[in-house]
Amino acid sequence: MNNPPLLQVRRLSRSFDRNVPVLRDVSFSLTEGSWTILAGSNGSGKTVLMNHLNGLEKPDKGEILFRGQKIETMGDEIRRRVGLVFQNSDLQFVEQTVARELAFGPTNLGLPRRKIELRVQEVCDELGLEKLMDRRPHTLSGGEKKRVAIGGILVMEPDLLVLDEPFTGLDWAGVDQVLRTLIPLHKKGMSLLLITHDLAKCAAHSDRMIILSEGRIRREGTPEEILPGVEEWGIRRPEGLTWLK
Amino acid sequence: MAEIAFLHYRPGRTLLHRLPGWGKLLLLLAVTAACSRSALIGLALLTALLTTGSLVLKPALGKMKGALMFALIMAGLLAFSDARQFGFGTPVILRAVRFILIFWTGILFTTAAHPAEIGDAFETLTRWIPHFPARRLNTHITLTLTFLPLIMDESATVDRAARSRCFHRRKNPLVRIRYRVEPLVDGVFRKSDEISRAMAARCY
Ligand SMILES: Nc1ncnc2c1ncn2[C@@H]1O[C@H](COP(=O)(O)OP(=O)(O)O)[C@@H](O)[C@H]1O
Ligand SMILES: [Mg+2]
Repeated sequence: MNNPPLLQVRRLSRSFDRNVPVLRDVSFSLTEGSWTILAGSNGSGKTVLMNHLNGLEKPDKGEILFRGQKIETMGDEIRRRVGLVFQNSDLQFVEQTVARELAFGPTNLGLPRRKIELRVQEVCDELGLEKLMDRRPHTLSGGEKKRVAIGGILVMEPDLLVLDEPFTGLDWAGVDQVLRTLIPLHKKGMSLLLITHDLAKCAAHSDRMIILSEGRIRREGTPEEILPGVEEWGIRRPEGLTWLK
Repeated sequence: MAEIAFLHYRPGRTLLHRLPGWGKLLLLLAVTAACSRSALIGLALLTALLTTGSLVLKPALGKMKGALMFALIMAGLLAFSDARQFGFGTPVILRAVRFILIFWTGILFTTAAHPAEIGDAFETLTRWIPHFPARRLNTHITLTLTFLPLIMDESATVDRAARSRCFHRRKNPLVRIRYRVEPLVDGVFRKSDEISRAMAARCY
């Protein structure tokens, strides 16, 4: 077991205005095949942290390693390996049909047309998007939008899927759809990092939890270890563990 | 692309910040009028004035790169379309320069004035005009100035999401413009929907 972890964040610090650090000395690592929840109240720095994970933003201090390699030496490869699903799907969509939306990433990578079609078809089957392929992404329901947004990342065949608040604004059926998308992905070996302030919907499915508060990592461990004390960090403690029956 | 941080009110204690709302508005109108009328020498003076203003406001301004890029692109497009209509010459350049200066002025003032302050100042200054819908326009101005930064923030997120799917690898300028502009326009329409609902909710 000498393999380096899938993703390793080391002493990351970032501030926008000089005097107000948003991330302070953040360190944690994700192992292959894990399902980690990064929890924190609003404004704790979750989204800013996510934007660093595939090199979109540069830290002031610290570094991120992907399978032992510094991400800034990986070029575009890191964008493909670490797929980010943004909180607001509407801001992620760029195309006028779901089929084209799914093809956007692979087209940017310059893959041959035949290969793009193949990947889009695979993801379409995997996520059950067949009926939506000709629809306009912006007109879908919340749960459908989120699935298409996830699909648009999966086509790039990432090793780690990071989702920022994927349940925001979704009704019960939408949350159900998204969870039923993520669970089989995880079973097939996909590593997941789920960012949320709402533990009730996903705590049961994770194997690791990290608490972020005011830009610092406060706790890290298994859900059983972490859950009893989360309210100290402004996160609501879920009543039961199984949201999905 | 740089973080888009213009059109956001930033608290501060500069001279411009401390002017009363009506003072800011009058100064804004004066500088804008000057920008749109002056010839070369006047524009040079205004540039000096705005540069000084920017330096004074610097801590509050955040990163200006995004705003400047935007202004340059818009001015370039303006000059291009003018040049096609009237042929290339001094007037075309003047117009482009004026655009940049007016845009710049707008940035400085929106940085130093809270949206509600500008709206209220406008109302105070125009209330005496008979039948002038000062109160309504105040709401209108305040809401628009409140929502503009939101749209700018969104466009930064749109940009990030596209880059995270390797959009920066596309070199064709037409493709680049299309995928920049389309989501932004979509977003503006969605937002203007929200704005009109928010205005209705405030009994506009
Ligand atoms: N581009 C930016 N410029 C300045 N401040 C920012 C920027 N992005 C985020 N912040 C600040 O960083 C803090 C954390 O934001 P964020 O990561 O979005 O929180 P959340 O945990 O809710 O996702 C907030 O206080 C926010 O105002
Ligand atoms: Mg967030």
